[in-house]
Amino acid sequence: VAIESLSPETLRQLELLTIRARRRFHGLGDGGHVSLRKGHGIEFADYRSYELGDDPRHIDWGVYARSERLYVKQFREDQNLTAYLFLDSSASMRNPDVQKWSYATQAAQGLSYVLSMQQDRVAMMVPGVLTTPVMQGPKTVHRISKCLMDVDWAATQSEDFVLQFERECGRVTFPGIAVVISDFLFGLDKVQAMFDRLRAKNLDITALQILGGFDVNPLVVEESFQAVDAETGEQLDLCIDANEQERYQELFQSHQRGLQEYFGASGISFTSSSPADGIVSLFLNQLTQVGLVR
Amino acid sequence: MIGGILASMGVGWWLPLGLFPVFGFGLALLYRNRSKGVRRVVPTFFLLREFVTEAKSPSAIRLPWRFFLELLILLVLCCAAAGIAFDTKGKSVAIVLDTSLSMNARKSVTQAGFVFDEAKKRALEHIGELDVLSQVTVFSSAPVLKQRSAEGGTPSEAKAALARIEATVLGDSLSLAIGEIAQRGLYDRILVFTDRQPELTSAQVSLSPKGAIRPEVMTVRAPQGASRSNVALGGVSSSSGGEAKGLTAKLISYSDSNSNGTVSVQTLSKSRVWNTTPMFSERVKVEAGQQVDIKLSFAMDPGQPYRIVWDSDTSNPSAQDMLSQDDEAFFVFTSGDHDWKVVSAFSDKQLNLTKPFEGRVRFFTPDEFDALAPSAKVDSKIVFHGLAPKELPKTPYVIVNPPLGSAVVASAASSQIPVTWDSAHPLLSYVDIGALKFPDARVLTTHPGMEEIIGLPEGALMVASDAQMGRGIVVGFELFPFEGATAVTKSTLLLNMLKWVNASAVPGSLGGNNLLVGQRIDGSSSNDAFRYLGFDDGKPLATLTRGGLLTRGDEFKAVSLINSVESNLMAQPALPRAYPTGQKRKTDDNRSLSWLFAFFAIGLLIFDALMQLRSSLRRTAA
Repeated sequence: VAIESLSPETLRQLELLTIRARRRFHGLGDGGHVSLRKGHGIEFADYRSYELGDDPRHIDWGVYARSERLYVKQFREDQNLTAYLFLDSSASMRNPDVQKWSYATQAAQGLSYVLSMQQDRVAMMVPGVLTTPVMQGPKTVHRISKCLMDVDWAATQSEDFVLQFERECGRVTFPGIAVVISDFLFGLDKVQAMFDRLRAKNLDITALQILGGFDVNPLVVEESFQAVDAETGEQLDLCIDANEQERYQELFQSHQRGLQEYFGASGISFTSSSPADGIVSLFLNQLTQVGLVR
Repeated sequence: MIGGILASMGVGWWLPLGLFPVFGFGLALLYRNRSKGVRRVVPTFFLLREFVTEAKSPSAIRLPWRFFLELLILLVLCCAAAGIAFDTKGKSVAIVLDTSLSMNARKSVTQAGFVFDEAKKRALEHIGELDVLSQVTVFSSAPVLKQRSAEGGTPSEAKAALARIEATVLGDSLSLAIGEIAQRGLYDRILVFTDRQPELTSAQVSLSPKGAIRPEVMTVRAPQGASRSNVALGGVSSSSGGEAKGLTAKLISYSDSNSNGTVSVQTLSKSRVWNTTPMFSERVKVEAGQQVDIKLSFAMDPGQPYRIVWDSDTSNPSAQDMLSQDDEAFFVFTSGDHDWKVVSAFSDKQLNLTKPFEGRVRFFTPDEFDALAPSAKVDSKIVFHGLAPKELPKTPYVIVNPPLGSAVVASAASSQIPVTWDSAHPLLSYVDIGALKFPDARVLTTHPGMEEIIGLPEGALMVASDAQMGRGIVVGFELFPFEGATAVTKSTLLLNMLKWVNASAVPGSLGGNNLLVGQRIDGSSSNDAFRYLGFDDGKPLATLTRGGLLTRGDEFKAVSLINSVESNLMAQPALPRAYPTGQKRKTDDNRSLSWLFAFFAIGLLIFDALMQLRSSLRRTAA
């Protein structure tokens, strides 16, 4: 999964975009985001009494003229942002629809590309498989791509994604934004456990759901078959008719509504996309609508 | 093809139906394996498990509707195969063609062709409607049942055999023929093509090993109301007075109008053909529905066959004779071959037996007879004349005019005219008892087992015993010599007695009161006159108890080829069809049902294939 999978045209379009947090965070260096740190900047933040050693250029002489007291103007400092990209690599993301996995990695690479272009710090976390250090600079996306390419997916163990995710959350040490890319095809209780843990890290969280054709409709009408769970290898003998397929769709939509309600109540941005949308549409439409991308 | 396979395997209809549960179980296993065989990897069972839990237990085998569709197809195919097998097994058909005299009748006055040709045509049509796998056997019914094609032959063989059959000029034995065919138990259907309803007894149709088989009778007749007039020669007999006085021909009209014609007598030429110039002819008018006896006076030569012919005038088409075969009769006056003994106190000259029986009679005095070896006394044609043994012999015997005081005589008779006689008894065949008087007769003692044949007011005049050890006849009047007006009658009676007494225990021989129509009697004759009576070899002869034909043994007196029942075309009742018009026969229904099943199965198969294609397209799209 190389960065070359994103075409130059796509990369040029991504360069025009910026990723913004809905809240302000402390950064670790100069950047394009207004941070909580007061200091040099453009955006006025507050006044404080002049203290010895302050730069006289920051004294608000107008206030002094009215109050005969010296006040210094404070500004919001522009700093970089730390972003954590969580990518679900469970078997359900990779099987049987390989496009779904490819699309998810492209989305992760696109986000890391946009973040690295605006000098933000990026860490890629593939629970149970890969955890990169927080990286910054133009090479970030290439290093992430290389890390993903080096993973022997066949040798990866199919463990509980939620447990692994919670384990990865322990490595989050700095506030920032978090983007969780997954199909979220597990119970709402597990989703809540995952994101409650993540919310405790003081992060601006966006949940990006990637759904393939098999996720929406895994059942073929008028055929009896043996279904095999891509994650557990469990088998089920099934025979589906039109009514049962409709019933499955109701269950699926109910799950989707549950996700939306939870994320909405938790202040987590949530959007859903499929490989059919395309990576450009993902950034220009879905991610823009939730306010992650501008 | 399926039917052929099933037929070659001898498969019954029950086998395909019985195999259906086996096939159904196999199909269920196939579906179970198929459902396991097609593996579809799904991303996760998260929702699926919940869905399955709601719908049904995951471990349960859930058979799709296509399984039930294919099960239905299987059932329909089994039914079709069973129907074909049933049909195939049911195609053992016996075709019985009535070849009796009446089948020679013309279809109508205005219509060309004969009833028999129409019957053959109908039979050919029916054979054509049968399945090619049918096993058809063709029979003709007259004079006796005769198989005309190989047993279980193909329809084409049956058609060829049917084309070779011609109607005879003999009597009807259809009921007996059908009963015999039913008893064979080889046929599922018996199709009878005739011009009249056979008189079937319940025993005749229920004796079949296959159970009761109701013959399907197809009647072929001229339309009701059409004229079917016919004048038949109802009999020919020698005129009273002996062989030199000529014949008496009985003409019977089966017509609703008067008939005019000519009765003529033809003789055989040296080249063995009938002379076209009659030696005697006479114009006759026969009233509608009446009988008339025509005396044909001419000098008869012993041993010479005569042909008596009735020619109707053809000027009136409505009175045209519908059946020409009963317009002729034959007569041969011959004494035949005899070899019998008479034990009598009288001499041959006194009895005058030599002339009518051509000297084949040997006379014995009682003393001479006692001197004979015992073997010469057993099973011989022996007539005790004027004598009576002290005990009735156990071997066949004829006692004529036993003396008073003997064990078989009760008393002397005072009357001369008989009052009762069993005219149907073979002993009295062609004997007109009513025309005789019996002076000096004896009233006989009727011993146990004896049957009275002729009775006087005082008692029995002639008795017969049909004991198993041997038959016996006691005649209580003088039989010899054969003279005067009673010569023919008495000589006929003597011949009948000798035949009856010497008849073996073979059923159907001229010896019982229950001779059946068409029952076969084997005899032989060196007299080539038989050849002119329709029997080329003179060996297989049939006896008809109805008036007309008498062919039996070594001798015959008067012969006519007609049969009153056969000739009477007008007397045939209107017959219902074997099945209502427009209604298909049973086997046709079976065959149609089989085809219906087959077409239904094909339709379902096409539907199933389309559904399979649709599913494949859906899978491809998915």
